Amino acid sequence: MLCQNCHQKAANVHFTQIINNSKIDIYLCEECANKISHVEFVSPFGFNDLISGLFGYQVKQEAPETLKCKNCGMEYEEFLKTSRVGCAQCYHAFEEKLDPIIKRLHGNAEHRGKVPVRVSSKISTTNEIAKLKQLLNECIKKEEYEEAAKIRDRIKALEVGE
Amino acid sequence: MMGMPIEKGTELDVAVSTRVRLARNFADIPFSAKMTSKHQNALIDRMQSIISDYTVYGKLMYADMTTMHPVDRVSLMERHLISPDLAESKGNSGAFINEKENVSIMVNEEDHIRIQAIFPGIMLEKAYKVCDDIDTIIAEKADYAFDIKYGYLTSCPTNIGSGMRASVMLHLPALVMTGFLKSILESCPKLGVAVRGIYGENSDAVGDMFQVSNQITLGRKDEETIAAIDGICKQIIDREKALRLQLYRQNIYAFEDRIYRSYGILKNARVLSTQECFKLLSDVRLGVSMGIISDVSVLTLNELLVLSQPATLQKIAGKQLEPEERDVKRAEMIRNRLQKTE
Repeated sequence: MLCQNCHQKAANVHFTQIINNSKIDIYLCEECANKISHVEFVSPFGFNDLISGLFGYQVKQEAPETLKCKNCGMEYEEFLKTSRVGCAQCYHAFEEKLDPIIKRLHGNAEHRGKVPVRVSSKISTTNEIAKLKQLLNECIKKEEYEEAAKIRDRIKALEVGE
Repeated sequence: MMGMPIEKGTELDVAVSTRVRLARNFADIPFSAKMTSKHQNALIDRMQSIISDYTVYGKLMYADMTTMHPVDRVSLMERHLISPDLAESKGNSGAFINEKENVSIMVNEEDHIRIQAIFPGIMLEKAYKVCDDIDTIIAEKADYAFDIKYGYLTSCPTNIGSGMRASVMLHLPALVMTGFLKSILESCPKLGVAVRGIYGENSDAVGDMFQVSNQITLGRKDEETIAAIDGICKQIIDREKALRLQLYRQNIYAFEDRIYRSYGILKNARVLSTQECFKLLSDVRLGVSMGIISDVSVLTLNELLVLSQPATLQKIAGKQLEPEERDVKRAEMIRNRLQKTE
């Protein structure tokens, strides 16, 4: 269908106006629609627009509040527009709103698989300390103080090593 | 060396190339959206020092986007060594690329770094291993942005988790001709798999080429994703091969005629647009893979597909060319290459 105003371009904007209970339909091209109306018409076809649309979907219904990452200064609204976070901390700063979006994108999942070597060594140390602390408590309960002292020293060594 | 890396892959008659990329960011530097030029420079310096001694896959040389001619940038994109975004990047960015042109590490793209490997045919495990090796080396020397729950953190939440995109470019003329491709396009997203044009997101499918890649990056081990993409691609390949035979048997003369006509035009034309060239190359590739044409290899055709693209063509010519001049140059280059193989 051609634009009802310029009769040259394809009509891709559909106006509906209701005046005194009678409905008027007007079909215009993007350019004419922009000229006639005060509303800006842009075809939302880009990938980023679609993604931002997905991110923005749930937020529109909630009361707007400024959520800001303390580390890089990125505001949540800015993220919604660009679909790019500003730093690693943004994931925690925006967690409450971002987590449901991530679930929509990837399903209800948590990371499995590769862990950077420096992180995995930290994790194993943290796990080891947690286990030792539990053991320490058990030893104290059983009044095995000699064993408890050994475990305490091991924990100290691990903590210094970190 | 220009064009596709010449190394034997499998399923070459349908699979054109395999690419794996890992998106990574460092914990101590803001992500691209909040980076200053100081951060960008510091990141390039960091990567220079980490990668300079690493020669397992050949020396990785830095291609600086700030000083590179736009034609050369686009040519790198046409060869799939950098992304369209990096080719258009205005900031301080670049890529470390090895001599064989099958490994590249983009710096200051959407993410701090994107490690990628590209091989002919289906070679997902090999391409993944290369990326994984380089990733491990970098992780030993600097702290990545990583979270126990979300995995590797990326600029866009669509890439978190593994940060991996494994993709295979498939040549699917029979599925296109018969219209069966539509059902594949419809069912793939349900499996967490995307089917796109040859330059990834937002790009058109030209010359019956399609890129099959994983959509989901969180909650799956890299090996599982690789195996899933491999399995889906092999199914699509089997279907494509069966349809090729079916179409051939239905009308041998019409089938062979189409292929020989296209081959004849490619070998004799004096003016060839990119679109027409891709269509003809698609027909000839189909003919070669079915043994109808035997004096040219699919690897040569893969190479022609890369070389006939506008920027790479200008790079060969050694000068900037107007679109009409390009069409003449393209026809000449293809004529010469095809005559050589006879």
